[in-house]
Amino acid sequence: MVSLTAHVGILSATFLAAAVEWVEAFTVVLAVALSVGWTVAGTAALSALVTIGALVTLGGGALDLSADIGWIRLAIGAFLLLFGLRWYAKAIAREAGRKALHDEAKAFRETTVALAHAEHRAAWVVAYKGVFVEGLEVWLIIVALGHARGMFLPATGSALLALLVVAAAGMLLRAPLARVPENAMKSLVASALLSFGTFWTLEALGGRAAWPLGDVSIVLLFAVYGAAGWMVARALRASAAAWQEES
Amino acid sequence: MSKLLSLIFGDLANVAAVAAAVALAELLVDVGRAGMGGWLLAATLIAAGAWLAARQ
Repeated sequence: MVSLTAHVGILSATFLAAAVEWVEAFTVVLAVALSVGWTVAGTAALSALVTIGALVTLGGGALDLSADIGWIRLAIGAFLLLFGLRWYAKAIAREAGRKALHDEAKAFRETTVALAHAEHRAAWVVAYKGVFVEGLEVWLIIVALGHARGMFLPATGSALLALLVVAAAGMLLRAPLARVPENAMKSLVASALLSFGTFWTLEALGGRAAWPLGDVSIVLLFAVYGAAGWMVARALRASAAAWQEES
Repeated sequence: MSKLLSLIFGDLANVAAVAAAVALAELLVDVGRAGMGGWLLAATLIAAGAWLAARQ
């Protein structure tokens, strides 16, 4: 039985993580649409979503065949740690000024220029690839967050809701979503992914005894990861400033 | 395929950091300190995140 805390946490984490990926996918689609038209961009995006839908159906079914939930939880926990740690380190590096912030407007301009003389077919592939790669990441997030707790369908619904929200917001704005504070969102999502990954990995290794506080530990882990990431970014920024002053 | 593998695993340093953190946590579980394992895992991952961020 999934507790309310875990239920809300999984759905929120899925929504936020999926929203980040959909924002990136929509930027590519928008660039293609404004270059060669909405028909090419729309059909490419739709085709990619249908492909992802088929993968969700087949992938979810294949995982249901597996009997040992402990191994699934360990594999998924380790995957979340691998995925989350990369985002966590990147978010810290960006916050500390060691890595350029992801600029959706710049990405949009670069894609538009690249498409200026491209054939429609190439443009279709660009849009398809953008949505497919980002959609694949959403699919991995859905499988990772939703499957271990028997919340595959609710997690899928949450990711689809994120898609609708991002698409609706994007259509209303009609411009690259540069104003979305991507790094702040990525930092939160990375902390959430690491929290679930840490929780499930240890639960798979040590059983329920690994977490005496139960699902509340996920909230505590999220707070610890978030606060620690913020402090590490500040420390890295301060050390870089001190080094510049000395040299 | 390489994009998919990169999406899942990241670079070698990322994989090594996660593997080391999980191995440490498993060690604590094996010696009957499962309750401490999770927080050691979290602390190791924070340190790994700081190290990976500093390398960028």
